[in-house]
Amino acid sequence: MNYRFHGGVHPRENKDRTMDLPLAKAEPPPFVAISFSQHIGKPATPLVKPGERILRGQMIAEQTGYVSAAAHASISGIARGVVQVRHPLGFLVDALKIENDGLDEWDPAVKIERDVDALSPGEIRKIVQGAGIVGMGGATFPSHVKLSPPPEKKIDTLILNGAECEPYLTADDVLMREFPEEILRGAELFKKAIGAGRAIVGLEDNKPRAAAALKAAADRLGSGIEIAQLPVRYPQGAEKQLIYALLGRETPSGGLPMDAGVLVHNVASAYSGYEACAFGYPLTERVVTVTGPGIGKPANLWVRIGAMAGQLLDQCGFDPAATRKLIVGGPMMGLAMRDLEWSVVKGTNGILALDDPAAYCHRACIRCGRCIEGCPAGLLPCILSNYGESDRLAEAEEYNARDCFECGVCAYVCPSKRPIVQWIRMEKAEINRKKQMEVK
Amino acid sequence: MTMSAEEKKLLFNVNNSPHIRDGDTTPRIMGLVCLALAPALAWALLAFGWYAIVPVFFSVAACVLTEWAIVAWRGLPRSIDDGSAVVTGLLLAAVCPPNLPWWAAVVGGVFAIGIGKQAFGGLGHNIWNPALLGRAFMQASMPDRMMSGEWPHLGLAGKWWNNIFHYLGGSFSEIAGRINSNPDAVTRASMAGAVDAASGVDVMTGATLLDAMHVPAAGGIVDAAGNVAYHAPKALSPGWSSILYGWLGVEGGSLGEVSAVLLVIGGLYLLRKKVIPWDIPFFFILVAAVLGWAFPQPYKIGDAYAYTPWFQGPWLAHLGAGGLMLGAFFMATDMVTGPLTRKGRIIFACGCGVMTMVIRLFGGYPEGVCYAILLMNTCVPLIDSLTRPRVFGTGVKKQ
Repeated sequence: MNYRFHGGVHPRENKDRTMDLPLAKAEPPPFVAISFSQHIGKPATPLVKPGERILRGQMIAEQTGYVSAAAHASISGIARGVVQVRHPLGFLVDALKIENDGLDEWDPAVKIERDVDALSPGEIRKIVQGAGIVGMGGATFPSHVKLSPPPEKKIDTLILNGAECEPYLTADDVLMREFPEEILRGAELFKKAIGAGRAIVGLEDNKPRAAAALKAAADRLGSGIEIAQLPVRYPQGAEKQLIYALLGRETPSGGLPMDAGVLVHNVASAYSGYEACAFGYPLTERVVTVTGPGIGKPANLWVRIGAMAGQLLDQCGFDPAATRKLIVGGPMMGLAMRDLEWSVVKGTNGILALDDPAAYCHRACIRCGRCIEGCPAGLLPCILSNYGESDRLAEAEEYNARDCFECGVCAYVCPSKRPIVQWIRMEKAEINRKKQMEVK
Repeated sequence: MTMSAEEKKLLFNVNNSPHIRDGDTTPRIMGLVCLALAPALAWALLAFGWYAIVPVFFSVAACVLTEWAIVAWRGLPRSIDDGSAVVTGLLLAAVCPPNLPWWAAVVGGVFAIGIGKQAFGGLGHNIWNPALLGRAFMQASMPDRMMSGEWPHLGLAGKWWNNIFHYLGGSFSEIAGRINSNPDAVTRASMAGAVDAASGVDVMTGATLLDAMHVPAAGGIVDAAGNVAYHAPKALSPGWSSILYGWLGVEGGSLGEVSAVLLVIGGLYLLRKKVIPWDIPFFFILVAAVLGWAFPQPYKIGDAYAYTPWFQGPWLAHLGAGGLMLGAFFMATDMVTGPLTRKGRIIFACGCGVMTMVIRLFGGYPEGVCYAILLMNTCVPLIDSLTRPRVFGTGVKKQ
């Protein structure tokens, strides 16, 4: 039985240009720039000197502290030193530039085939940690941290997030269609690592072939993993909404899914987890959907981590003249990039070339209440936006600004085109800054 | 990877997510409201004659110019293109009598926008529905101009309706006489007859359906000790044909209120276009109908009055008469002056229905929609603070 989470919208899906395409391989990049900050947490510490020969899968930067993730070479070639690339959030970060020698030679040290059924929970966590796996739905939280909940938290259910509720994106869809078995085996491993009794894959019902492939794979494997199809409604893939939709459990305000006894992982993370556990492959490539009106040849591609956006887009018939906005991620929560000087990171699930109005001129709130009906967090976004505009932080906090997870439904539905979610983001940042000051 | 100056220049727009937006805009909402109001206003021109355009034109012009002037004076970006001033102008005209002089429409429009809206900070910040506030101001300052309920100058349309009513077994004059409780009933009937004969009468004024249902409280008999011994009944039950007249708009009344049927059609169009929520008109009309049906109301037998029993009131007449449909579909649904959440909107709409019927049945005015909505507008901040939605994840214990 599925539950209906409060609010949400159903924007035009725009998935039709890529949803039927098979998974293809991107052309090998002439060089990659692998960022040391591809995850939430401290940047990884570089391990490689300029001029060194690097093999694919070789760790080039190790994790710094617990909440951090290692980075690995995605091609074989010569290290050309540390350069700066733009992070999707806008700032410049350090990255290792590797020139491709075209051999694509795997590091023999990492390629280890294992009997996955014999792995203990601790070993699974260690392999996932060593492979640099992070949340691949875009949040990029290090997976090994999520797989190591404090012992007092009883987690009974693992949820694999295949909702892919953002318009345009089809990367998870095609991965579930073509690698259902690997994903389910990854789910079994994660389930074992956290000691959960139950596992569910949740996906929206606009992916019937992915659901069929997963069901067939579950039968083949004889695993008890459930495949649940949910109605198309953004943000179905927001983890707290997905938990509610599948289990009817509310994650407490300010808490994590484990506070509701659940762990949520993206399907691509489960795939990478299986590849790491079964074959020793660290995370060196991922599926990226390249689409949008500015793309002549839309595609779902296996892309090497660190491939430059320009080189990738050129393969897809990118037309800069027809592109006014370049988005990393989906159109609802993705980030707009100023140029092409950035490289694919572990959380890059899509690149969209949109032909969008430059900016929306916003008007006063007419209190229509559409943002309230749409808000999955049950907030009063219009009131919060007014507080943001008039800098009334205390009221904003009292109206639960910090429960906003920035899905953007409010700004999407607003007939006055107010950047509601942006005001709430700024309020949240300011409230958190003040809280930190108080602690000091 | 050093970038040349040329490469460094901004290539793409970098405004914030979401990068797609719903197609609906505030100007579109206002435009659809105008469109939905058009049939009822067009009917007013048909029924009352060309001069009904005078209050419409001057009210809209006064609203738009006032909006433009005040916003320009405040040094804010131009706001007249959002269409809200046009909506206010049309709604204000709709609640004015068709024979309103042009200067009165200008006074109402300037007050509605200047005091009713811009004094509070412009669109989105006003507490009361500007059009209704304008009407209340006019009612207080020029009651004679506002109370002159005018009967339709029917012309061709009247003949057409008359044929229909003949077919249904009545005639306009008979019906007009039947519903009339005032001493000038004979005059009323004969005047209506004059229209029937198309004898060249241009303008007719007389009691509206609600006036006819409403007998002034001054009709009470006071005994020697000064106590009110007998209350004259306050309303009269109308017959089916006058109910039909009320619904169809062959009836005296305010310019845009007369045709309940066309207002309902416009309202349903707005519902279909999702411009207005269903809950406000539904609960407003439901509550008004239930109260109009439940409470005893007077009717006339010969020269005497009698009360309808409980639960037999002329609810259908109440719905078709006066500004109820305009109020329920176009006035109470004003988003700016209404509550934010569904729960709040239901409380608000029920309050509007109760207040309308309290004023109609027990108050001094024949019509209560305007004051009922203004009164409930006043309660909106309170309703909003009492109906805040539960934030997801609150009230749930951490494991």
